[in-house]
Amino acid sequence: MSALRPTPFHLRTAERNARNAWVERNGFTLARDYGDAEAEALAARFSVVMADISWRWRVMLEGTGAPDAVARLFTKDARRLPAGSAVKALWLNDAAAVRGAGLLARLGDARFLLAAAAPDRDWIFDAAARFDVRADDSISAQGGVALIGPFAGQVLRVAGLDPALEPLAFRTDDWRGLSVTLSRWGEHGGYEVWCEAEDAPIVWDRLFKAGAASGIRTAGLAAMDLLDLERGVARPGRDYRPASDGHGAVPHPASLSLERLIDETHLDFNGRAAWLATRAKVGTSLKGLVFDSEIPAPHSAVMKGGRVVGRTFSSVYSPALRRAIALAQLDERAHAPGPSLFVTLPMDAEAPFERHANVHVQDLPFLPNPDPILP
Amino acid sequence: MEDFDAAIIGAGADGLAAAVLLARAGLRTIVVERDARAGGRLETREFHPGFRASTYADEIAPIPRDVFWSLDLARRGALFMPQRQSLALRSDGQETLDARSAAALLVGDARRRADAVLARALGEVAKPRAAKTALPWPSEDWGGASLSEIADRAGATQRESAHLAAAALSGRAADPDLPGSALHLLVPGTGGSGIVRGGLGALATALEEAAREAGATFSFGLEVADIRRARGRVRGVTLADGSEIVARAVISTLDLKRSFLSLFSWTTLPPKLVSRVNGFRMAAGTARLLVALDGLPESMGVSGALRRCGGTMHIAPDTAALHGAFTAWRNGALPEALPLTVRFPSASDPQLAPVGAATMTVTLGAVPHRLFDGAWTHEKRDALRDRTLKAIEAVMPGLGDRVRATELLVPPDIEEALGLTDGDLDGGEIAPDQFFTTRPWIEGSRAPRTPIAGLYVAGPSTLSGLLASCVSGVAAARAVMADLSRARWWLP
Amino acid sequence: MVAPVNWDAIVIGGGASGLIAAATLAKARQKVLLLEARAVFGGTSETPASGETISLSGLDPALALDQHVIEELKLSLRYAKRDLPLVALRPEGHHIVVGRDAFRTARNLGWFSARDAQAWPRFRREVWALARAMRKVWWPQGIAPIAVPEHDAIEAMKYAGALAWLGRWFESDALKAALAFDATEDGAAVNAPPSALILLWRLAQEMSGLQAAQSIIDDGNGGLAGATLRAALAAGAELRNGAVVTKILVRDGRASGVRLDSGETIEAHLVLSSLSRSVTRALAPTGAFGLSRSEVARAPSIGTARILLSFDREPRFGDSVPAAARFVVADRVDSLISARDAALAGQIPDELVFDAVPVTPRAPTAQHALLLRIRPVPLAPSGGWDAARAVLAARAVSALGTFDRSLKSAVVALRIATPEDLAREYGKGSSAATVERLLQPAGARIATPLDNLLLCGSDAEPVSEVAGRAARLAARRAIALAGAARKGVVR
Repeated sequence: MSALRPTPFHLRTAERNARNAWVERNGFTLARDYGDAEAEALAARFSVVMADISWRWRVMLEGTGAPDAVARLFTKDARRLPAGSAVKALWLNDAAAVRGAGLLARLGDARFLLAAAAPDRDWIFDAAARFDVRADDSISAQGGVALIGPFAGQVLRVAGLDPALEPLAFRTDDWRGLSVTLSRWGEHGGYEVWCEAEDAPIVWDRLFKAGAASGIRTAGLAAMDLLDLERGVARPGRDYRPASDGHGAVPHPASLSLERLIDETHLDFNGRAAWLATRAKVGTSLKGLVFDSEIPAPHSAVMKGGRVVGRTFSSVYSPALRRAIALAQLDERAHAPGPSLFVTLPMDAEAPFERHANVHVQDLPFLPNPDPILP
Repeated sequence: MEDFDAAIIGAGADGLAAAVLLARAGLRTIVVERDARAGGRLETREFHPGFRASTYADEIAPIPRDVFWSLDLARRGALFMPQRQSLALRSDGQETLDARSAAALLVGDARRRADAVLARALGEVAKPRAAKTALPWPSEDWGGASLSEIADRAGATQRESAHLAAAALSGRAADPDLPGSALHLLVPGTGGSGIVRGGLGALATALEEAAREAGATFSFGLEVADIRRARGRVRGVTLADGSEIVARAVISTLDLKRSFLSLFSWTTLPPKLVSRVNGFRMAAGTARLLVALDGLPESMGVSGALRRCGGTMHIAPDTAALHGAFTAWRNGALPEALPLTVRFPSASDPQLAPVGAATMTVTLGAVPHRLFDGAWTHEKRDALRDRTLKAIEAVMPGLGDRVRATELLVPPDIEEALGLTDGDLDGGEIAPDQFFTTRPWIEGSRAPRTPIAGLYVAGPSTLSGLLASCVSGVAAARAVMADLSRARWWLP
Repeated sequence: MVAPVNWDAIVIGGGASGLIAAATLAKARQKVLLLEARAVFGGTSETPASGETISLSGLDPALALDQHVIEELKLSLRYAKRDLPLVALRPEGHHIVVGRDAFRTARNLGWFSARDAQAWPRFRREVWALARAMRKVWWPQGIAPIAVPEHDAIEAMKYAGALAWLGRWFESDALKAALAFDATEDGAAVNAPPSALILLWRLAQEMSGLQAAQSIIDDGNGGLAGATLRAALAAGAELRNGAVVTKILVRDGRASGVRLDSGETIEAHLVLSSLSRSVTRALAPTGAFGLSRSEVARAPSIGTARILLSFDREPRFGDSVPAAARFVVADRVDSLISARDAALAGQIPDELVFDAVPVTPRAPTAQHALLLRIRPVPLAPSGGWDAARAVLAARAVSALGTFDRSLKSAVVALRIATPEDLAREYGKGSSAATVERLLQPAGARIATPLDNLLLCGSDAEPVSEVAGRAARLAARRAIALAGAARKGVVR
């Protein structure tokens, strides 16, 4: 068990983490919040926030066999991607169970970058070795910050970076002596700035200064997870346990409503046959639930009448909606007419008895991203 | 002549909420608003090119969560950011209210009491008329105690007590030492709903959208001149241009005095009602100054304040100053030390000002509706504006140089714009005898019903309208639905 | 030196209230010791010793003395004046006369407002009935809690200021100001609660058999002080003057006696204190009354000053003004409010608000005397009372002078008792008026956190006036406690 590593921005985040609230993710130590996670999440809708996302796992896949490797591994065909753009995809095991989800970016003819919320070293490195592709995740040592909010583009412009970038595209710029990569890979309509580890404090300071006029504030991991949930994004590791071997059949992509990340016209991806065979038979899907309560119920059973018809994944109180929300995996029975759904709220010191809250299924996302404001 | 089941006078928060409920229930509903747009006091004004602010207040009384959910306001674009922290700025320093201090706990306690009062008041609504009202007040000592005393009992220090008083009495004219002032803690001037993205106008848009989606009709631009009655029951309203709207029920969201004394001829109302309404006291004390700034000065005052709380700043040093302000207000004069609440809404919501610039809103308390030496002339307004900016400059050096434009609203302006008697945004003086007996109602019937059959009141003069937003409209709608379903008569 | 516990009860304070309590206890054959700090008994009701030319005799002329007290103790009281009408002196020349005859009063009020004249008889009838209904609460026979009568009007009054409440009946400013003067007791503000209730309390009192009467006790034969002193002595109470209590002793969670300034310790089974609650708390050991802040009863920072003016002729305020009346000088409603504001700020108000009652003149060459009660004045004016005294006197005389031009030259003697003087001389202090204090049951008013320490002075009344009611109830409670103790009942 190795010790937790600080991210390249740790110097700056530690200054602002007055309450010393740290959490671990992917082996890194990250600020949970900078005083008020709810206010940070709201600020991402009102103005702009900056979050340290250096914990995301990044792997470089290089070599003459890289296009084939990538075609085999991922559920979308990246061979036809032009350099400078990216695609979101899953990688499945042999039984079509989800091992991971991430973003695949093409840096060059035979150079790809995979960025994912949770690492899956064994599978990716093993596959890469078979195709004679060099897989290198030392790039994870590089730092990255996300700028999220309607004024994100404005901040970049003031800072001296050109915000004109297509969604899922990226480019490398020389930013007054620093080499940074600007991308739009996130789900929240914002930008990410990736840089060398030693440049991290400079990048942070420049962006912060540029954002002063737009009311920029820092957002911790709690706020980012909250935004993910309000957007309806489920992440492996945090929300569900991905498959850890090659033969297990859970979790099935359809049960997580991830069908849109699978391109059936792509003939080569691993697990395709199993996918085609099983996709119609899966009875569960991922839905959004809004609670008639402010108290969330993560990893709890969802009930209808007296029967369990699903389970919640992550559940948080959304300050924008003023109610608790959850992502939940629900059977078909949940959607049949009948009594309404409810969950049992967790007990705590203030309420040491069983309480229920009614829940309703809602289409995702719970809240759309705010439109960017560029003068 | 158009035929409706319910007519709602005033398209403010309460009127729109009532419209949503009634329209969803299938009743033909029309909302009559004399302004060209819906919202009333929920307005975002572009007071200078590129600079916007919520005109009359930055916050409103909180909307209870179940009303918020059922109106689906978040997805219609009404995003609230609670302003829990507040800062007291003095020339010798600044301080926030520690979240664990006695004073902060008192605020939480007050909110819980207010919620309890609301719940009781709402619970009574659906019941049919009863001969005797049971007053739903949880505790008498809050009704008769002074704010300073309650703070003292809770263990707050002098400074905390002063901070608490400044926050609760923001925009009002009241004396924290006078018995009965503890009620202001239940309906504090700040710390209510939080700011809305895009200013309160965004909330008005969301509510109007909800009402239209539910099927309500709107009439803009015409004032209601008269309420017609037939056989002792309300029959409809007459608009200023003479057109008539037939309705079986009318909900008035105007303040108490206007609801009765301007919509009816007083000789046709029961004398007890007239004397009660006449005796209802208004206590207008709010003035608003909207300021467009070239940017926020880097001085410690502003940036320190914003960094520490990002929200509400009070410049009203101590309870003696508040007492002096009240005395001056009573005599129709402006006090030595103006009680001010300052916000920079563009710091949290940058779309309210151009890039690099800032919007500042100042809420002044204890500003009389009419000065002892006459009406509010231009010179007097300019003088007040200059005094206010000077007072703010004293604690935030460098601000004065950055002022690009200002707009000042004094009580007569608010009265004219919103149709509120005396320009009292609270719909009446917040005093124990008015709180407990005149709002919501007495005389044997229960608000939102009135002694006039078919007329219902909602809005700022009612108690639930003061404690929370949209609730009095919901209550009035529920009363209308309950009564109409029980009605055995039918209008021809 | 510790004396053996042979006293059943100790009464601290030998004012009228303390004497009444001692007399009641002694009549029930309790061994009572009354301790008075001064040389003379009677407190602020004292009358001057013979030979003394002038003193502030009968500083509390308008009493609310309980009829039961008078009967039980057989107090021989004579009234110098019965049922004084209220006369509000007006600069307009036409004075308001509020007498017992409702219709005459209404005619008098007609000059100011026809509507008020019409409203007065109904006001008199309804509000006085309301006041009588409240006697259940304010005139309890015992200390068992009694529910406040279920009456919408009383509910409304709980939270109303006197002005707002009067405003529902009357429109003329002069009448409201005159009536609202009585609502300013104990530092209450007329535009805030509980001043409406204080007005009602005043109307609920009875003197010389008449409701809401203002009567002056004749101070020949010692007046009230003399009467209660005689009653206490006759009943067999032991009285000690010159005894200053410095501490109330507590043992095993119960009051066990007192210690004097001489060092002497006196033990008793029960202790009654006619001092104010805050002074009593200060005498008890630290924390004996509890540690929470809410125990702190706030004392007002404003009080009443009294001036005794002696004249060589009768004051003439007008033809239609009865000679013997209670005169109120309160120009406008606003005067009441701004006077309070000024007093709170430590200033003597520019426009004084006061009432004046005729008393027996004592100074040589004095034919008439008026006792003025000026309310509110600051307890501690900025600059001190030495300077403020003269200012107050001058303003008071000039205020009266507006109604009788040559009155100023008729003044032969003037004595002032400032709140400071009263505190120093008589140890007089009081608690602020609150709704709680006005409505709580008698048992709560006389009780303290210590079971056998009871309050019996004017501070234990709903409004700080010498009424004797609290003294009588406290004494009866003490007798009940003593009886239970004798039977060995565990409390």
